[in-house]
Amino acid sequence: MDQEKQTQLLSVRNLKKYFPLKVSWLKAFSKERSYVRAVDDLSFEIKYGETLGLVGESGSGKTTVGRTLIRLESPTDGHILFEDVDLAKISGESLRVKRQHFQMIFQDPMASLNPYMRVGNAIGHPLKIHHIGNKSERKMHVYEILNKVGLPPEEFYNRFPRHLSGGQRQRVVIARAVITSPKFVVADEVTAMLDVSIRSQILKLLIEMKNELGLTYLFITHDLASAKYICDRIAVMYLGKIVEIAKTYDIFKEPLHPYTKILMASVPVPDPKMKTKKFIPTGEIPSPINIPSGCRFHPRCPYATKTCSKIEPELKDVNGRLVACHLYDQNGKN
Amino acid sequence: MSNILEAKDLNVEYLTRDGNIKAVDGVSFSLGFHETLGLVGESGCGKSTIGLSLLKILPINAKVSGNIFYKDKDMVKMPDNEIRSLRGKEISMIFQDPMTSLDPIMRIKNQFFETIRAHFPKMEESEMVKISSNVLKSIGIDPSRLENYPFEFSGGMRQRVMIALAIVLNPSLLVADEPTTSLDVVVQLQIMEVLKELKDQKDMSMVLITHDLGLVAEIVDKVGIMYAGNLVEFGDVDSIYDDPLHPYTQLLLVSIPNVKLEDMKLKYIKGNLPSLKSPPQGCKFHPRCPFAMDICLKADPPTFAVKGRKVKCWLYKGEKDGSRKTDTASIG
Repeated sequence: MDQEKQTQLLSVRNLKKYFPLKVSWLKAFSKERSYVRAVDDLSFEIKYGETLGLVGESGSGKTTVGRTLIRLESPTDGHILFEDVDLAKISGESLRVKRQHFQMIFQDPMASLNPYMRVGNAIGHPLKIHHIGNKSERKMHVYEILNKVGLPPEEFYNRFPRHLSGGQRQRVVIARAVITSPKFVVADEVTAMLDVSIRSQILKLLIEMKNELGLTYLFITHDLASAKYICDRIAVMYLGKIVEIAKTYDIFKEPLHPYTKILMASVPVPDPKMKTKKFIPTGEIPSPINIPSGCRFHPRCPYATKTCSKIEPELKDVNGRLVACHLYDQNGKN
Repeated sequence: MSNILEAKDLNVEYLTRDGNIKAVDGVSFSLGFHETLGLVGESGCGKSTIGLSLLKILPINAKVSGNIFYKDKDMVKMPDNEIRSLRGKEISMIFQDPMTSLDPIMRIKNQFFETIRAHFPKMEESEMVKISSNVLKSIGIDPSRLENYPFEFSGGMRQRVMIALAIVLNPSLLVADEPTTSLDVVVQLQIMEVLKELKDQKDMSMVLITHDLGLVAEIVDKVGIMYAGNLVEFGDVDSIYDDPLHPYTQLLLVSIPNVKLEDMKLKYIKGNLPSLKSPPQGCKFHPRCPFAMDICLKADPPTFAVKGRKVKCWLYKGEKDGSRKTDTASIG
């Protein structure tokens, strides 16, 4: 490893991921191909030891970003600079070897564990793939990590996933993701399938793992409330674009983009007296095949003006934060 | 007849090869006309089982004892044909996952017709189209989409269709089992808004089953907190949120992630839900309870009436003579 003093672990530049639509061969001759523009020109950086939250509704492309960053998908265009390697350019064996440095925790702990594989073997599998240690060393390592994630190894090593509860399964998935001591972990909706009471346990575990192993996270979620506890910065994504990116404190103190405000208002408040009419967005996220002209959010935006339907706003600096919205065009004029 | 629904000492046991699982253990509650009840608890606490037993659609290995009075008729003993005439017309249900609970190869239109025909076999098709369009419109979907198949709808829209299907025959009781769990926050808010409107406009009682205490706060009148098959606290919504009595309710309330800036500390309930096959001795919550006393390890607490609420916890043994608001029988 190079000892260069760089602070950026990951730097994403103009990342694009388009999925081509299936067209009948008759039409294929005449018309231009249409695409699902899942990720459309994204740029951001993640520093060493930082947790970046990626927040948005389903269909905003946040999972595609996560999958593309660790090259489960090949990007259509753009660069993913991981330390000094452009992940978008490498493939085959060189990519495979690199994979031990970045891992992913998937959303559904029921689906991401092989039902026929014992917990211990599942966790040790990445070590086997990357030829780390011999059999007994690997087992020791698995015992160690099981202890760390709060599952007593004597009890859990030989169990099958079906014997575990949702929270325990998610712990196993986390153990498997961090066993190769990766530098970068993509956590994709880790808490979405879990009960509210288990959610905080898992978030705490993620924070502990980060502090102990020096991880860097991309934390993907639709729930701003859980992002608050774990993220250093939050990027809000809408229809393939980042609309706001700022420090967690700033976002919660004063969300700037109308979409961020909506996401904030959507978090349920446990108070029966809060019966006031909330700021409820109408409609749903549009299809990424026919992206609205101008600002992508204008059909649902309560503050939309004529400019919004014509000109697409760029990410601009507003009081030291980045926002893509015409409301803040003249030096933060509101 | 003061209550639309009254459960008395309800027990549901699943008989399995490796032993019996007591999913619901001596639960009693009541629900008045035009009231909404929130049943809240972690996965595996038996809340969905209660929901299913209200429609009598439990799996075949379930053994039910106790009583469920629906409009003073005991549903547990009711014969099947009578239940069938209630299902969908009087009592209907919204299921958790809209992706799997709609028939993928049937037009939405036909799914409505199927429901209506089950109760009114001789109804004209034009009449059925009229009824279904009106219901769809009231829920915010364009009636022209009756011709569509479920795959042509998004998750939130599918859940709306499910709700429309459930209320098409104007039921008096609607059971919603985790209606928003598989949806994301913005759509969740929209669906809750639909349910809230239904509650205001229709003459309907509702049972809302969820794991999120935050979600139901605005909509329910009564709350029942479930833990490992027991109803540990039951009362009206304001008092439960203002002054939770049972330690589990207190912990559940503080463990909800929020968006307040001043509150950055993660709070959670330690440990996991106990196995229902071999529940702990005494109070089932004692291994996770911060206030556990000696007696909690030995004996299962009875239900005490405190401040017009029912609490199943030894902490309230002395306060037995709180003012009694509900007239339901205490749990044994």
